[in-house]
Amino acid sequence: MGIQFKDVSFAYRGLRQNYDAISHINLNIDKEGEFIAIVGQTGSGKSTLVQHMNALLLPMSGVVTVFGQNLPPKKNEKINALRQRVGLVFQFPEYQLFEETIIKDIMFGPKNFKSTEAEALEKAKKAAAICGVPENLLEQSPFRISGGQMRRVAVAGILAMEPDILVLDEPTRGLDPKGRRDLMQIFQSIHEKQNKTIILISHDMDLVSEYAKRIIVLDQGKIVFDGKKEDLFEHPNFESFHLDLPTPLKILKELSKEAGITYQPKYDYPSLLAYLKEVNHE
Amino acid sequence: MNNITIGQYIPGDSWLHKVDPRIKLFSLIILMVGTFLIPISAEFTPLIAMGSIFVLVILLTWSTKIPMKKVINGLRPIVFLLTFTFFIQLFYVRQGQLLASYELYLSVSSIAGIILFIVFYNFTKKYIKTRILYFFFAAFMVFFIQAMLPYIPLYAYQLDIYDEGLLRAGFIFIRITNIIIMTSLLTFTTMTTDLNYGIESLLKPFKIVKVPVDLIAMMLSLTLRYIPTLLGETEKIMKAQASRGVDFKESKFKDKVIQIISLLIPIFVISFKRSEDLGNAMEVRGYVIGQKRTRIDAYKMGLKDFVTMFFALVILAALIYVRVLV
Amino acid sequence: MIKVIDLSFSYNANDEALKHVNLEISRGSWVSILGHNGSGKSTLSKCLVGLLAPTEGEIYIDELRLNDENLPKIRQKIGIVFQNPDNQFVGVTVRHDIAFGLENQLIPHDEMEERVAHYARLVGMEEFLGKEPHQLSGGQKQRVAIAGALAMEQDILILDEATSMLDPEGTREIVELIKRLNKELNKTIITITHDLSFAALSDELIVLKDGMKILEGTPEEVFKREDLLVSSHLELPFGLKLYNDLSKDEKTPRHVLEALWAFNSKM
Repeated sequence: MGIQFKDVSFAYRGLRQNYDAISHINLNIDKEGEFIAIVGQTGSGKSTLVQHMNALLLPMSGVVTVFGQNLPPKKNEKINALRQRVGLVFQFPEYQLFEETIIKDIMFGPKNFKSTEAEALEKAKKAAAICGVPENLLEQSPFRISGGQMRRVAVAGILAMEPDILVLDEPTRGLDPKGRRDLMQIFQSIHEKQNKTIILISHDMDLVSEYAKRIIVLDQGKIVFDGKKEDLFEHPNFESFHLDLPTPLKILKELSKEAGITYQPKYDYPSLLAYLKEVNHE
Repeated sequence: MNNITIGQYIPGDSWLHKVDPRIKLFSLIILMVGTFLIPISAEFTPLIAMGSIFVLVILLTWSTKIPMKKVINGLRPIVFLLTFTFFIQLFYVRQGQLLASYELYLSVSSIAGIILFIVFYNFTKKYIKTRILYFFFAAFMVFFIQAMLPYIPLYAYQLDIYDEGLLRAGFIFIRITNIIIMTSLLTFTTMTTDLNYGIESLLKPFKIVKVPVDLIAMMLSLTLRYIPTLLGETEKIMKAQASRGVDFKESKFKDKVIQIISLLIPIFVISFKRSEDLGNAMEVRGYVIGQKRTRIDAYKMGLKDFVTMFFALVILAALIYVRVLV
Repeated sequence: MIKVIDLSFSYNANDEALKHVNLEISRGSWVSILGHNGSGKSTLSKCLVGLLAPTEGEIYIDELRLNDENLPKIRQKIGIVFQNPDNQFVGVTVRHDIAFGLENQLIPHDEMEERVAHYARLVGMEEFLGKEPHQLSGGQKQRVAIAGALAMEQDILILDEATSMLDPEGTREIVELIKRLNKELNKTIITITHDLSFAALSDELIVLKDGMKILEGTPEEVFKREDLLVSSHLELPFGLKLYNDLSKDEKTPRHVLEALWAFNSKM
């Protein structure tokens, strides 16, 4: 179960250049427990890759298997149901809001997947709560709230579908620091409490190093690294991946060079601070 | 990032590419008017006139060095119209001399034959390069089969072809073809910004009757600029809504309504926000509606432009003469 | 160069976006205005360029009082680049967009061609003059917007969250460009942002919260007040936060703090 890519390639037909394509992708994603970050320069194929996971794009060669369903599907096989199991949140998802009220918009997803009105309402309320959308806003128009709140509503709309795997395309883009932190906390808690697999596309290496367990690096449509985040940052070929080091590691490297502090990798602020205090107190 | 550019401009070096867009647009309109002026008649003069226009159009196309195939493909959107009109004229006009008479049968065998042929056509059309000609051939075959397979007849009818019918059919066919090709040549050889300028210039006289020509030109320019952007945004929203379970392949009416609403409303919202932001940006950069502005594109008319206009007017005069004569 | 005196603005009776804001920005300086979403920073920038008329208070740009009469003159002194790269790109091509402001100013044709070429080169977009906006990345579109403002030869440039919608590469392009504009061309730059590592590069910071100015000073001075920054939903950049926290701990050796300080200055 989960998602598998077997030698998958895809290129945009016609006038689009091939820089955004993917080639010979082999990948295995567990249906639960994973927290994966997909990183790479603009144009390396991240969005293309991720759109194969819920059958928005179908491979030109190779096979993608999502929860047992092979893609491309046989003629007349319906693939729509997959989109409920693999929930994809696009960049700037607030653009997808359209219903009269927030609660109706959050209910839209579940209703498309055959939930009854009552079931959808229940799921929507739960999702709204997880995303921190206050109850008193639920009957308001989704267009009269702030941008940050709109984003939460959009994310709730996908969570309400109760997907097994959550895929997020740069979910924090355009948010202020607090908004970023709050949103990532929501995903982190879903991951911990429900053991859901979360797949995240991001350019923010600090974010990636803080939350991800496994990192997949794309370069010009090919996977050049797929493994634990600890192994990525120590990788001998790290330079060739064209990625920034996360700031905690940059600081630790600098301090080991200039202040003689033993280098020990730390991936988020609290552990960095704790480690340095510990070393200083010796 | 796309390699598609707004409009159908094909870069090139031919004289037609270099003609001032105002003259091109003006000449096109004149030639179109002239083409419609030619009366449909079997007499020598109109026939020569229509034929000459056709030859002129072919020569123009050749001079631009744009592949003929591309120009013929410009006819694609109206292929049905052309064929339909042709056959209607051919079979319903009952004037003049009877040229030929055919017995046609809607029979079990002919219907079966037509179905088989359509299937064959659909399978083989991807291998045929000249799709449009293939389509005409297919249309012809539908009638041919009805004539050739009378077995187990259900309904028999007679198709009479009169010479007037053939004349009208041919005339109208060539006239529409001429006009479409002329328009295609215009859009192939003129950049959208230049076309825009051409339209603006031609509308200028209407300023006298208080038509806000500058405003219209600005709106046209903004519309052209935003079409690719809007297309891209529509695609993104479609994908986002598909990810929420909207199945764009479902064709039940009720579903279609929801599909359209889930696309339209976000696009409207984006567009309203855009118009607010854009209005602010334009205002801050000094744009005032109705105020005079200079222009970064310079259009100077040269000898070839005057010569082109002269010839267009001469052709128009000749065609008016033809009409008056007949 | 810019004087804001007791500025207040309300969108309606219940929505006071700016409350009695006072500030001064000197010629050639780079000031960053920080604040949470809804703190009034965008409202302030719109007031400065004359898109919104203050409910109370006065604004002076280069000694000129901002009012309807002076607006055309003031529009020649102060320009603005907004957040959404697509919603301010007017021209059908890069060249036409950069020229837009010049066309409005009735600049004669030859001078326009020259200026457009010059400023396109300045922002590094001279190879893209014939490109259409949908062929450009966000960062490239913002560079074109900046070129358009520069071409109008305004002394003051406001960048209202100009990098919020860009990816890190696009943001880097813009930050590099702004540094050059301030240092080499001596433009007065006002950046509105919630990114403190970006703001750290400027000469002076002003922090707004709920429509009021709560803090101002050099980056060093402002970053010391972490409490106020946090209450404004702002986060210190990693290295600076670490420096603050380690400084508070007496057991932290001097050389560690110095190394950290050096690291932060390099960023």
